[in-house]
Amino acid sequence: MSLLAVRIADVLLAAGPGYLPERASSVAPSVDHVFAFLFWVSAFFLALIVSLTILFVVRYRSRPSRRDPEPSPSHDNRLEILWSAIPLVLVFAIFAASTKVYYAMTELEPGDSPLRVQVTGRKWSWWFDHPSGKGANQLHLVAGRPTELVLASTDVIHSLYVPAFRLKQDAVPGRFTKMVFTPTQPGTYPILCAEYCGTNHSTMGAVAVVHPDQASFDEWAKEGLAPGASLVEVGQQVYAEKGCVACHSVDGTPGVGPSFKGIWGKEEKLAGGNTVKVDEAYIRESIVAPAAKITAGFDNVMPPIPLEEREMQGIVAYIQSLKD
Amino acid sequence: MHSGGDLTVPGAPQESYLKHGRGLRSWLFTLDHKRIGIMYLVLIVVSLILGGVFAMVLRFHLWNPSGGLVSNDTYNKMFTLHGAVMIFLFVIPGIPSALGNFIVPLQVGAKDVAFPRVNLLSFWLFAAGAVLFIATLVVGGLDTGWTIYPPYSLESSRGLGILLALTGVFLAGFSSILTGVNFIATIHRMRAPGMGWFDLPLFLWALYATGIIQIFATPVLGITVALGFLERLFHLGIFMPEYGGDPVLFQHFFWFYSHPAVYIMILPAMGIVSEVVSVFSRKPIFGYRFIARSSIAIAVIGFLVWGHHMFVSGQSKWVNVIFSFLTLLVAIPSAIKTFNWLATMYKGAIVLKTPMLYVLSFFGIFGVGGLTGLFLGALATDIPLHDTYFVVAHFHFVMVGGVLIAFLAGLHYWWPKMTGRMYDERLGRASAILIFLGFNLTFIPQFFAGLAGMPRRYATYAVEHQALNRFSTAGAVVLTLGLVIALWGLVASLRRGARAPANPWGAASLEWSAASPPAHDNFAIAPRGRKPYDFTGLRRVSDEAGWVHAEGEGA
Amino acid sequence: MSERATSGASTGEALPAPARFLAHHFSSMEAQSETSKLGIWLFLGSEVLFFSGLFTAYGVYRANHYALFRYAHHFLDWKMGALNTVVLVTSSLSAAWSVRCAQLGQRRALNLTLVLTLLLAGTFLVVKYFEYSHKLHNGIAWGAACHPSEHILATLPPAARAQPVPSDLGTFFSIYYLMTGLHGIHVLVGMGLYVWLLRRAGRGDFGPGYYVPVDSVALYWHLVDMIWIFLFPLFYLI
Repeated sequence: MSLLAVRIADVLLAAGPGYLPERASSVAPSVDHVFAFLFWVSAFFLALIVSLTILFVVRYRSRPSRRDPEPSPSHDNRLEILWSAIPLVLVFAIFAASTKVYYAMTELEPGDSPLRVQVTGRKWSWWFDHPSGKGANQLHLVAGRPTELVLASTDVIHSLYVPAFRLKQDAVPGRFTKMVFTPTQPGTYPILCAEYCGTNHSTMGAVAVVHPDQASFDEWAKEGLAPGASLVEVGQQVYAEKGCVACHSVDGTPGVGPSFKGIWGKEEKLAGGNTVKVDEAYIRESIVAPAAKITAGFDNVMPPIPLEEREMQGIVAYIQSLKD
Repeated sequence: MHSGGDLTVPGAPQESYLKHGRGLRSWLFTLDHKRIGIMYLVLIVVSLILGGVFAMVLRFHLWNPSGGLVSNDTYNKMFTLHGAVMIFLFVIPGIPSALGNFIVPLQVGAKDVAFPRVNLLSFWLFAAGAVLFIATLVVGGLDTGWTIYPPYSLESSRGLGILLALTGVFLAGFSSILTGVNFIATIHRMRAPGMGWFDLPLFLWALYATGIIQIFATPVLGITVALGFLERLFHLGIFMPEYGGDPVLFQHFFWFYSHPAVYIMILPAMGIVSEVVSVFSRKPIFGYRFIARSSIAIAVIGFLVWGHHMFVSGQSKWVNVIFSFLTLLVAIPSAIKTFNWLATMYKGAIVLKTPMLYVLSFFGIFGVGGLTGLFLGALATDIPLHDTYFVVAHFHFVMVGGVLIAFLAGLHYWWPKMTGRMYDERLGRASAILIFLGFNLTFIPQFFAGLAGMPRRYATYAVEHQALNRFSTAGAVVLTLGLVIALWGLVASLRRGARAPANPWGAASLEWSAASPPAHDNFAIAPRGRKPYDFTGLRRVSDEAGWVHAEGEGA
Repeated sequence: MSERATSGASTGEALPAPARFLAHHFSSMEAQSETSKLGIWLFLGSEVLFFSGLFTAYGVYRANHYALFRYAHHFLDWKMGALNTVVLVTSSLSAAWSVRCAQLGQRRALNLTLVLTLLLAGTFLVVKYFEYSHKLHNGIAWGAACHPSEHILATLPPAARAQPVPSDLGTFFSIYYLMTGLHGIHVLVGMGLYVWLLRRAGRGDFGPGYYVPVDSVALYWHLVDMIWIFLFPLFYLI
């Protein structure tokens, strides 16, 4: 959006309803601008409807001197086209503006490796596993650094909502969902659960702590590990105890199954000739329904392995840590 | 009392439907669409009151940010039952079953609906469904939200309430399907001679479009609750991840019905608005064909937008973009209707009786409701606003400000026809004004709470939202007062109201040619169709005799 | 139909047979028949949507568990499925024929075709009973309760026997029992409707002037048949 349009949008927003939380992500200003556009379009049409209603009631009220209506046409095709076309054009404009911002809300900003945090929702608290193994019940971020949250749930659907970022994403048991953004200003911002999940849904909050720079974040990450093993350690334990070690090496040697070393992010070739990107969704599928995709050069002999959600996250983190 | 306006041989009064057959059995097993409509009306108003009681518990509890009136669990049960009772037992069936059943055959000029026994079955299915909902209270309540999303709703620790509720929804849904079949068949095939499609009152166009949705959307709800029921009992592995199922699949199934359901709610309301705005402006409705076609357009496009309830559920970006586009499109037909209604008032002779006061409220309130829908159809704004009080405010604006207000407009408009009594106009006006003020005070603050980040279904909330919540609670008290006065006024008129003439408003559609209240067979002489918005032949005789056709058609 | 016109204008003589069934709110038999037909078509439309939720679930699960479906369908005996298909298609033929008999007033043939339809429907359910009981006796239930016995595993073709039993086999059978079960319930309801038609046919209710109930039930029956025609290949063949 051009600078002038942004300035106008901000003025209109300031004149608008207020109540918006502070803006702490790279997309928050754009979201607010779309909001301002919608607000003023709506305000115009509401004012039009209300004022016409009042005007007509006052002007055309039935009185003893005015019992019958004045002659007027019962339809007018040109008017119909006019008041269909104008809203249609506005709808297209709203769609275009909103979708453009939506793309920005769902794509990582380019940059060096994003900060990747595993988020786990459970009744009734959040847990955040940061890289470097530090788990916490607060989400720690770095101002200016693109961030990717991978959300999971161990029981029911929850939703991570950060009003100051203008972002929200459901955490759905049985799958991974993602939220991407760049925090823009240091500070602490409330996190709320936005999908009803039972008794303490309204107290299932957390806090997003945005560090002013990477150094400050690293400082925090060094401060003693939080209780409970890091996700990578969980993954190592699962690898050993649940039998993955029997068929999959971590040093590159192919066994009964492919080695885990270096496969994260790779385009793996499948038996049918297709390829698939090795990400957390593919890893999950390979564990619960291994016959669905067989890596080229290997047999279909892996049985499905039942894993708890935390163990699933651990294996993903462990495999990710084995990239070259 | 002379029945005036009745299409009978003058001077031969007919026995009203209220007196035709006496005793409880003649009502409970009636095949008369008018009696069925009245029975529905009673159940529906009781449901409104029950749902309203739950709502007041919620609003009083939310007076304080830390709650305190009831426990979290009780609060969660209250909002669940408030939603379920209001939606399934009041807003969805309200206008079609309570008003439509009574009026549709009269407006087409028929003696009854196409399938009277199916109509009675519809009523009993609805009553059974309602009983099951109430029964959930007895077994400990339901705390899943009316949207019953799994895995939470189907966890074994939820108790038996979910099974009762799912069965209740199934039965009420079946009732809705059969009502839709009946209305479409009646409007399609039982029109009086001379009544072509574009001679139908717009209330009938609205109910026809509604019928399409009832028939084709409700079965999907039926299979969804059946699957939920079986999943809970037999762990089929369809919705619960721990058994191999997909909880988002439930959301698709659920919203495939529940979004079109909101058009089941609003289309009949819009039909009433078209009737009332025309009669009380004494002018033919402006843009009749556009309004008629827009009802069908809303019914069709309404089937294509369900995914906008799931923008953050984890579905793909492309799916989100497509649903966003279609959702924004569905606003257009509603806009067309609004402008046509306003144009109807232009150069009219506007009479500010109670039905018209409600309809005037509708314009502003439904305007806000529809416009705020744009914020939720647009992806960029929906992401932060989803599952916040902004959504709660939006749907209350359309469901309460739209459907309830139109329902009250229709109820007052057709009250003389249904009961043979005039309601007290002063009480009617007072209620309309109080409801308008109370409604706005209740729900406008909720938009701001949502903007500020207050999620919905919260038993406790951040202290910064306290002022908004307190305004909302105060508004709810005023709204309740308005509703109590409205209902009181109507009930009191059954004893004290003046006897109603056949046509107290000077309307031109066929139901006003039958007596007030109508005879058992509606019309002794089969009527011919006539232009429903042509008021030119009508002249007012007196308060007691109402309006008559100048050409001497009937007394 | 509701209250029935029982007599003509003033003489009290009985009206011709069809007018016995003319409901008071219809102006003519023709109006009543046309409206009844519209009603049954609308209701069948709702039935299609009712089943389409399940077909959608099938589609989603098949797409996401392709290997499972290809494996699991071997547990279904395609010969029994094919037999049931022939049975149902024939019953649709007899149902359509019964409408013709009613239209032509051929009372004996009407009774025969109604009985035939009923018997074929019963045959379908008997075959289903054998299929279900064989599976249930061998541990093939739905969801987590699906534990195929060695006996039934031995009946699989060699290629399928070589694979490990998928842990989500129960998901396939949940959908199988759901869809064929719901269809079976509709067959049972259809049988009840045909019993009702037989009683009315026995009383001589149907003839050239009035055969709409036979027509409506036959339409319902054709839909039930058509749903099976989709179910059979989707489960048994692919």
